[in-house]
Amino acid sequence: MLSIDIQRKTYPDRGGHAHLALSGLRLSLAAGEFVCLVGPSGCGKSTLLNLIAGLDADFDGSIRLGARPATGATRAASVLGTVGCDAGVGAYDPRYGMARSDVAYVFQEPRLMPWLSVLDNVLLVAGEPADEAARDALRAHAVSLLEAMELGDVLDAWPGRLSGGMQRRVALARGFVNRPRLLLMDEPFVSLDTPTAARLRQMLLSLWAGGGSTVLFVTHDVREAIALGDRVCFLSTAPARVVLERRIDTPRPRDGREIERMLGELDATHPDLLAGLPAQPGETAKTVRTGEEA
Amino acid sequence: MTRVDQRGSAASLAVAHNGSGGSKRGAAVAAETNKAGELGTKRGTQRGMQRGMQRGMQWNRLLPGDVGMRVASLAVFALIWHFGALFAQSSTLPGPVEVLARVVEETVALELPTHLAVTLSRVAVAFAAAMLIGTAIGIAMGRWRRVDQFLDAWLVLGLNIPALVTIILCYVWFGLTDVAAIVAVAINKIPTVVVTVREGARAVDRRLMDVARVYRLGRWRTLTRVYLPQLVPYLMAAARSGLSLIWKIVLVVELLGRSNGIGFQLNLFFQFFDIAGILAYTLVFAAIVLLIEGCVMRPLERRLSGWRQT
Repeated sequence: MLSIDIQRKTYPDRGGHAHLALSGLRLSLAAGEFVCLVGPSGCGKSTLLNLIAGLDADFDGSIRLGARPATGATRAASVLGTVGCDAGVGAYDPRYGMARSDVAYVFQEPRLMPWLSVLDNVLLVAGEPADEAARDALRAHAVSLLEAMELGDVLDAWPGRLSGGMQRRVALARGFVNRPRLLLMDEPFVSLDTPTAARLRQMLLSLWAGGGSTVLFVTHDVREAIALGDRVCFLSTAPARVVLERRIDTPRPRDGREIERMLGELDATHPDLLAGLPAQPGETAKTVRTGEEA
Repeated sequence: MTRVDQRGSAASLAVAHNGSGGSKRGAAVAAETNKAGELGTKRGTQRGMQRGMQRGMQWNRLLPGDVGMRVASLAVFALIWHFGALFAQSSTLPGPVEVLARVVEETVALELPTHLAVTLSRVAVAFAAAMLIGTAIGIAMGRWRRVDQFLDAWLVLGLNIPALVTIILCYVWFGLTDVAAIVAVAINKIPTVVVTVREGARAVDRRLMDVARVYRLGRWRTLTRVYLPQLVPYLMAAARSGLSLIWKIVLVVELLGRSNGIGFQLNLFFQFFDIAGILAYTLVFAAIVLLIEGCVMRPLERRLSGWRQT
């Protein structure tokens, strides 16, 4: 459904020289798949997501979001690389009773609008249907999403009053409210404490299971990738390209021992791949690179 | 952080470092105020702290509440004026009673209300024009560097030309009309609005704008629900400073080239040496300004920036 073929992506670094971030990066996602992209910090993961999301159109190559048949008709594939800021939510999909937009993005920081309440933040991206009934249905849908994220009693609160974990839950709800065809996630659970991150991962999986979105989840934590993904793709350091893909067919939720086993397998076959990535739980990429104690 | 006076006794230092909650603070306070180094016991420092707090609370109880303070301030002002006038016994300083009587007289004769209405309408039109044009230019200059580079010199010129010069030139070029008057006022105000709004446009959070782009919010929704809310503090600052500036320039404009309005009346009173009249109109004018600040600006600001109180 999503096919990415980036021949070359450069951007000017701090010194003004052209830094080759991505080169020969090819990746395809099937509809409804949960793909995790793992790579060391600074390898270009955020750059890649920005290209897919249409925030950046300056690259050589193509990114295509394929058509899903809706009531028997097919739409032409759209080239996301040249999308600008147009109005409008995607075509009406009768299976879900509401239009589905193409792309949603959950950023590394929650990025909520501080002057809108929690509910208004989620409704902001949901579009404004013309008739009253559709508007009420949309509102009810947003409320149920927020209640699933255990935010039912802070619907009218300002984001500034919520804790970091709660703000990320709102950002997650905002990502799913449109039932997007493609959901991009850029290390959304980084720098959270372990129990909160685990809880949020559960919520993410339950939201994804209900909606049929394709998820591209970027992280530098291999364990997180193995715990969440149908498929894990490893990126090299800059200029980044996909160096390994692994399918994971074990049903979720996957317990710690399963994850360690798969990690051990990967380490045995591709030890160099995991260099630069956190090897122990709780380590961060920084401590691995500098060799300091975690 | 407790600041322990270096000159305090060793005992007080020991108490502070022991770190038991209240006595730590008490030790710091006592150490700073103690010169003879009487500190010793924990109990002594706690008693000192309590006594200090009690004295503060007694003072606070004597003072009236919020509204009471404002009323008291007005009352004190009126008293100083009254006794000052009494003491001066001069025709150039009429007392508050005389001025108030004059206010009533002018109101009943419908003089004051007419001139006030005319001035207020000029202020309103000039304010609206300046805010709209200034905001548009400010956003353009903040967003596009080329525009900024092009208009910057004109902006500096506009900021530094004296109001008097603009007013005189407008009257000369457009005649002694209301349009010329309002254009002159607006031209004076626009550069200050542009400077403030430009800063706001530069400070817009790119990350929130990215959210709007990714979710395809569309130009109108992005502008009204993501972009403009970020400019609110800058717009409020421009509005407040601009309003106070516009009041003053409108009076000058009326004095120089109009035949009605408060500025015109003030000029008339000046020529007849009618100080009571001047003070009467000034008093009413000041009251209106305070009213607008209290009933329009502050509630508006509270409504638009309520989410910042966290």
